[in-house]
Amino acid sequence: MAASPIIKLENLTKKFGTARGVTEVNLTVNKGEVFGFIGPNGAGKSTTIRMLLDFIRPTEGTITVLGMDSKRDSLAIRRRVGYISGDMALENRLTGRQYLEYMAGIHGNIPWSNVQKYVDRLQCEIEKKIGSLSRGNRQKIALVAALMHNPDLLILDEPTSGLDPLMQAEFAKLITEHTSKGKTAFISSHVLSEIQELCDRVGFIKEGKLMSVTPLNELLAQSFRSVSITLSKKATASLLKDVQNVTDVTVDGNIITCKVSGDFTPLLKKLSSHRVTDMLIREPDLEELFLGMYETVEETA
Amino acid sequence: MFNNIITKTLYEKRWMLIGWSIGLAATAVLTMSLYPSFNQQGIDQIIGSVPESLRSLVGDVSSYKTIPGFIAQQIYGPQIPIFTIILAIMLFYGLSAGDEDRGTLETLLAQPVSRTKVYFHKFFAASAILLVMVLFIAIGVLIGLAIIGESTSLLRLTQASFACYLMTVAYGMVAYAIGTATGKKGLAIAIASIYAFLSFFISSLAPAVKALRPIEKGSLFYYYNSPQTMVVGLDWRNMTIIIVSILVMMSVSLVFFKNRDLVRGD
Repeated sequence: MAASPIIKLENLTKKFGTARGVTEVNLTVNKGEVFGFIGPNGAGKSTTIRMLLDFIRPTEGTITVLGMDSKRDSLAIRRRVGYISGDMALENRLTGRQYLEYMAGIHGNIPWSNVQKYVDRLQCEIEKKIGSLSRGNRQKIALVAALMHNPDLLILDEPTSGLDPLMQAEFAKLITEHTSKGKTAFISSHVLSEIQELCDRVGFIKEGKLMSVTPLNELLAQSFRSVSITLSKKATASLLKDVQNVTDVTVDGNIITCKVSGDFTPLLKKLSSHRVTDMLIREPDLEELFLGMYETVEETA
Repeated sequence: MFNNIITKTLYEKRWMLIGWSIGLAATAVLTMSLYPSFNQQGIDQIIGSVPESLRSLVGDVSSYKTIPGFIAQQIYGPQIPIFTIILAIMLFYGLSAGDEDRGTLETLLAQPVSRTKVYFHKFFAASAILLVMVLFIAIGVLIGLAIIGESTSLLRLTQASFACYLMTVAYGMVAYAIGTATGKKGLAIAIASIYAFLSFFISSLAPAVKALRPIEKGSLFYYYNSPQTMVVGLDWRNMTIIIVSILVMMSVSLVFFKNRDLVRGD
C-alpha cells in the first residue's frame, strides 16, 4: 500500500462552547486504504467527518485532505470527494432523476451515462419524488450522487443505513472496486460485517478522543465471544473461577454469562461435569471489541 | 433545467409563485374595480367620520379621488405590500435557516459549490420570485384600470412597482441575513416578523402619535411610498437608504455565513 496520506488530522480539536467535540485527534489515512471509523454515539465521529468536509471548523489543529487545507481549499477538495451520511437530507420535492441532474450540474455537468451506470446497478427509482421513497431508496439516490463523479476519496457516514442485504452487498462491491483503482474510503459504521468486509484499518473514538487505530486483522485476533450458559441447577460464580480464557463471569439463577477469549476447551471441560440445558455464543460488535480493548489498556496502565 | 441552484429553486417554488402571483393580481384587479365607488361623494363623509388620531391609518382622503392617489393608497399603500413582505420573509427564511434545519444546505455544501455562490444564488432566486409577484400586481392594476375604463402613467406604475419590490426584498433580507448569519430558524423568522410588524405599526401610527416619531426612521416602511410614488415619482434618497440597508445586511451576513459552523438540523 502506498504511504501517501489522503487524510491527515493533526491535533484536531473541536469545542462547542463548554461541550466536548473532539480533542487532539491525530490520524493519517493513506491512499488506497479503506479506513473504518467507529465509536459509541456522541463519541465525535460525525464531528470529525463534518470538519473534513468544512461544514464546521476546528477550534485547534489542522486538517489536510488530498494534500490540501480543509478550509482554504475546501472547494477543490469537494470536487474530488464523494460524501454520504445515513440520514442525508435530499431534495424531497424533486424526483430522483431531477435531483441527480441537479447534482451532476453542480459538479460541472457530469455525463448522464456516468449517473445511469450507478442508477442501473443500484436499481434506483428515479422517476418518483424523493419524498415518497423509502429510506433505503433515498439512500440509493444519495449513493449515486456520491459516486457519479468518480471521486478520489469517499467519506461515508453510516452509508448502508436503510439498505437491504442485497444492496449492502452491492454497495460493498462498489467500495471494493473504488479502492481497487487506488482510491480511498473513510467509513464510519457500527455494522461489524461491513467493517470486517471492507476495512484495512479501524480507528476507535470515544468521548472525543481517538483511543486507538488498529489493523483489522489485529483487532479480530483479540476478539472474544459473549457466552450465556444455562444449567439445569442453580449456578455459582465460583464454578468458572480461574478457568482459562474465561472472564467477566456473572450469575443470575441458573444462567451464567461470561466472556471467552480464544480456546473454548477449558470452559467446555469445566462444564462437562454439569448438565447444560442451553448455550448461546454471541459475536461482539465492534464497539464492544474496542471497549474491551480500551478497558484492558486502562487496567494495564 | 436543474443544473444550478437558481433554476432548481425556481422550479421547486413554481406552484407558490403561480398561486401567489395570480392571487396578488386578482386582489389588485378587485381593488381597482372598487375605484368608481371610492370616487363617490359619500366616501368623504365616511372617511370624515374617522377620528383624527386614526386618520393616518386611512391615508390621505383627497388622494382617493384620483387614479394615481387611489393606486398609491389602495395598492401600494400598506395593504398589498403586507402580503409581499410576509411572503418575502417566508421565502428568504425557508431558503436560508429553513434549508439548513432540514439538512439540505449541508448536503448541498458537500458538493463543489462555495458558500458565497450558495448565498447569492438563493438570494437571486428569491428576488426573482418576488419580482414576478410584484409585476403581477402591476398587471392586475392595468387589468383593473381597463375594466373600469381608466388609465394611468406607466412610468409611475413602474416606479411604484420598483419601490414596492425594493421594500419587499429589504424585509425578506432581514430574515435572510439572520438566517444565513446564524442558521437559527426560530431567530430568523421571529426577528424578521416582529420587525416587519412593528415597523408597519410605527409608520402607520407615527403621523398621529408624536411619541413614535423619534423611532420612525428605524422602520424601512418609513422610506417607502413617502411621498407617494404613484403621484410624485420615486424619491431616490429614500430608495438609496433601502438599497444601502439591503447591501449592509448582505455584506455582514455573508461574512458570518462564510465563517461559521453549519447548524445540524434534527
